Amino acid sequence: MALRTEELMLNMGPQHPSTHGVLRLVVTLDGENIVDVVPDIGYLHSSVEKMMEYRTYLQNVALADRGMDYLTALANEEGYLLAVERVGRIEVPPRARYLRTIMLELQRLSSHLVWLGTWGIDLGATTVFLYCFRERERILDLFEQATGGRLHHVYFRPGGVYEDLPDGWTDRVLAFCDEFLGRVDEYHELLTGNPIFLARVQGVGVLPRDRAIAMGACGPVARASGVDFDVRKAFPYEAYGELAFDVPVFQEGDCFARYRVRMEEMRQSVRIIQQAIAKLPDGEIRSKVQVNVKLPRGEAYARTESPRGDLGVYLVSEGEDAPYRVKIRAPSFSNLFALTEMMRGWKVADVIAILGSVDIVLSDVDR
Amino acid sequence: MEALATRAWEAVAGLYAGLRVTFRALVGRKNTVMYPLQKVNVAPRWHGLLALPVDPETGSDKCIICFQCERVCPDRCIHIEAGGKGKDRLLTRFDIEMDKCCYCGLCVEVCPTEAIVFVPHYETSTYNRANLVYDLDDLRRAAPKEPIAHGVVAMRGRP
Amino acid sequence: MSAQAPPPIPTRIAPIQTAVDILDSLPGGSVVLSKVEYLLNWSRAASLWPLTFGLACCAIEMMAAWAGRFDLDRMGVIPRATPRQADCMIVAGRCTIKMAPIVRRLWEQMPEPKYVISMGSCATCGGPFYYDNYSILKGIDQVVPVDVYVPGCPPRPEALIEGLLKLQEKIKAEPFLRRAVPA
Repeated sequence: MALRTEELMLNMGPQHPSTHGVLRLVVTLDGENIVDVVPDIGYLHSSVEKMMEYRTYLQNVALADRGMDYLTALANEEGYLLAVERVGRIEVPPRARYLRTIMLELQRLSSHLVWLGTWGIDLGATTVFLYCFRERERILDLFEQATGGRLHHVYFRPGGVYEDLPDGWTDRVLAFCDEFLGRVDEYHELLTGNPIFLARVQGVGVLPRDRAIAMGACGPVARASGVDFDVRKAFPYEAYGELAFDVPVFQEGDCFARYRVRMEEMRQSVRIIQQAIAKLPDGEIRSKVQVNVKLPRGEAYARTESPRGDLGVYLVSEGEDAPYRVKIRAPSFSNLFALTEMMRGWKVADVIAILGSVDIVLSDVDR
Repeated sequence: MEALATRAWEAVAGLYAGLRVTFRALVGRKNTVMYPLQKVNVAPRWHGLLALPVDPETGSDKCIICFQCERVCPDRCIHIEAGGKGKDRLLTRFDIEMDKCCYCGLCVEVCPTEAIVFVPHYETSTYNRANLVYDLDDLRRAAPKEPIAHGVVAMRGRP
Repeated sequence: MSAQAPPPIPTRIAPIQTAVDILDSLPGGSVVLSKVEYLLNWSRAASLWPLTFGLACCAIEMMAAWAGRFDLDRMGVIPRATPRQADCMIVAGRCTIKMAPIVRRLWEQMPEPKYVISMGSCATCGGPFYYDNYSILKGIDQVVPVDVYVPGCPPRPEALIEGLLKLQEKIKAEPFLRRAVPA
């Protein structure tokens, strides 16, 4: 007589140490095998898109920092302001474009360091967390000296940036970059050669290339599945068109490939920062834009490559001093729904490893 | 058997590589700041508390009651009232609800007279939320003694 | 949240309370009692284990407070992921109306005596999401009692440490054993 088994429904979250925020995963289990995963979102819905309709274009910069992806405040500002500048046909001076590029890449470093540290904790490697946050504090110090904020820097403005750099800041950044490349090697020594780490991530949570495209995965998740697409290369914005960098692409589509894509992106970010500082032009940092700027009637869609993927902002202006409608296409949102594809068929212990490798931020998912 | 030996060797090698990094960190520079005893030097641009510095020449507020900060504040946490007319116009109320404030610095940016500035101070936790509404006296007291120029936009080389 | 309020939880264990009352009535007993109380409060304050309720941006700064630079572990503050092992709860970040019952439930699951630290503007009163917003709770003190408010958006890790020190001061000053005299 065959043993009768039943499927078990398991709730993970919303208060779970490894869900990277307030995500609830409804996991259906057959024994230890995952049959289905349904993410339940909305625990951090902050109605940013609606709030933006009641605030002026300048005030929305402060809101874009907080309401969207909170790990990458500057990338949100960039996505939003690119749309504003396209609607209003506002010119950004060259120095401001380079300053924005440097800040965006520093933000990418700090975001990837948080990802690596927290993923390390999830997989039982607490040391990596301590090392990543040590370097992240250095980046936050640099941010604090230049923008005044550690996490939320309301630094970009329509038509430029708020302030010029303090004296000696670029030298400190270059010194940090040189040191940081050695640190990336350290992370590789800690993790890439470790057989326990490899056993938990290599070949786990495979997302094939066609499924990645079908589910709308973007950013490092898509690039780990062999999709050679980066908005910085395909639709260059700011100074990315004038700088040389490579887009790391891996074909495997497993957690280890996603890890290697991000590690390689960190090296490329350092390369971009070094080039941008070497090429940093002199001149104005902000074109003349009123505080309560009224944009002409029109609409625009801006695509940027945030550290999590393809961040799009669609902005409609009706000639007022506030946008008529803002729609945010969040990268974490589309990556989250590729999660079901990755997890199906794996063991329940792999849920955390796969979830961590996707690098979602729930504030970005729910907005 | 040979496969087992290879795996064992890999495990030992991986462990050794990881421990080498941690031992290097052990003998390296200390990273921890002993917070209540030692303090981090906060950058001059740090968005800390807001304050209303007093003009050292006239001894009165620098505020010209233009309501720009009140209007630009995304959280509407600044409340200003003024009494009198013409030259006798005086601030009667300048409240900042520090619990709502998001420290974005837009008020500092739009102020034409640098009447409202950031001070690099952050230790403001309290037992009661009502204490977080800072009135005119609190904000004047929070202002630094020496004159600072925080509201200056785009000045090259500001620390 | 629910219409029926749960019965009040007895916070003091009866035999201990009787012993305390007898000791208090003895000559010189209250001196001994205050020493015992000091010892208990000192030990409670020196090993605060918080439940890390990271909701949004402030959670990242909370993590940074436990990382190498600020190292909260050296003050006996060790993060816990379950309410059953926690003494206090750090609510970091904005709390939505969908999340509010869960905050309340986790607070109810914590053993007495329990404390709550509200970290950041959003947890304190809604912060930047106070106006024009339908989904964010205007301050977590609407669902749980808050002991220490740490303002900031987000607060520096030092500010969180200062808030924890404020909570330690509060714990040390508590009459932990003696029954509250009805006014």
